[in-house]
Amino acid sequence: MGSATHDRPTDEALADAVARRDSRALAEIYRRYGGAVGGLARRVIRDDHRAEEVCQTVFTDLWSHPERFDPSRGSLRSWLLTHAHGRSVDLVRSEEARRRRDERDAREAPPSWLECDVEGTVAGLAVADEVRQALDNLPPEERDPIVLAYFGGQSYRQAAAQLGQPEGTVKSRIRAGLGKLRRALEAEGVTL
Amino acid sequence: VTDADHHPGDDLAVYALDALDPDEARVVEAHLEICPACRAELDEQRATLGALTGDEAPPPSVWAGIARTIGAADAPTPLPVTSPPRTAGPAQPGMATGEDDDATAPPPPSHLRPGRTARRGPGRWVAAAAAVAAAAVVAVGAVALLRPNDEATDLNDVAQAALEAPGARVGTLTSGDGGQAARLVVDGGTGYLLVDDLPVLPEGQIYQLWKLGGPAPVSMGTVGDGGASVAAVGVPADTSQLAISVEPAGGSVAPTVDQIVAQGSVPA
Repeated sequence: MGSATHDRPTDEALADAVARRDSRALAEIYRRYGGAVGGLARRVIRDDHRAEEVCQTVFTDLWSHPERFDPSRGSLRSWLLTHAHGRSVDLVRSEEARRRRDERDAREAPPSWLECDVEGTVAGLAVADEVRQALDNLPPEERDPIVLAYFGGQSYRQAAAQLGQPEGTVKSRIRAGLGKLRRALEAEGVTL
Repeated sequence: VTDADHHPGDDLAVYALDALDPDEARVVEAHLEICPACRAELDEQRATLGALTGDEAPPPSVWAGIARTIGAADAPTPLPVTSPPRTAGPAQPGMATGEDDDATAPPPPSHLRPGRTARRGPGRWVAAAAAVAAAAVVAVGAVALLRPNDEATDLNDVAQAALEAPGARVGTLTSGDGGQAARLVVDGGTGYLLVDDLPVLPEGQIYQLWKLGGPAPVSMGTVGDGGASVAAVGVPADTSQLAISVEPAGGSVAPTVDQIVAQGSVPA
């Protein structure tokens, strides 16, 4: 770790310190990324209380298993968000399964709570205009399944059903859209 | 069955979104174990997705729970920074993501400062999100305004300035009894909802603003529990008719029809 007093510790140094059971390092990581982790969980789960629980779990998991963060695979922020997303989606899916069991007599009832309003979701993102613009500039058929899957917590099959598109087509559009999105963000100078 | 030469292609991107079926995900994971190229592609896709998430300061209870779990109840309470959107400005080679603010710890975001929050109820997530949304708009071409200790980042001030700007586009929402419930000031793609008279909601409920008039109502965002005086929202291009409804905390995908408490419109 740098010893110069004006250097803020890097994320990597903080992760190393967490591995040495330094709770202040975890506090600093939380200060840096708690807002992003919580924000993503809240968007996917759409329930403040459960989102708070997921947010807590993501940081306590880092405390329990700091070795799982591999700096050669990307930033600490990206790693934390990946975990937050996976846990949020797991929660949404198990909740969905529970509801289906509870409502198996009301078979015709569509899972309306799962449906996700793409425009509203994009408009509600707390991101810079450049990022929103990059998302808005994607062809809708590529943007919509990405938004439904990433923020709506939908599987590609559910997204395909909501969009009325073939599942294989949705898969390839997701990949194409992600590639375009990355190039657009890089062109705008967004740090990835 | 895994094959180092058989790259998952489209499935890898869907895996990055956590949107594959479990059996498909297992195939991708087996391949990732042995394919550095696909690992690198996945890392890139995840980093791209990470750019889509902004900061929304969680309530202090979240850190309290973490500190309890790790047995560090005396650990200092970190105030999550609602950091400036990570865009624009000169490139800073060699600096890690999120390391680009001052060496000194920033003061808490303005919405956490004492004196401004006296009326705020439990809807702290929303207030933070709104503050960031406003800051994101201010950010364009004015990065300096984003410094946490700059008063211009205070949502109340930003909204007031938009309201007083010449030619401001202002719409009024009226409640069932004819009273002025709120005003919406539109500034490009962003709006500031100034709450004039909305009852403070019990915990677990939130106000949500909607654009009406299209094929289906479009959410412009949740706007707090009535305790905060200003919220920032997204304003779609052709917004005219507006409604505010009461929804479960976290908001809804469509307005609850019998819970619309105010309606109005904004001039074109």
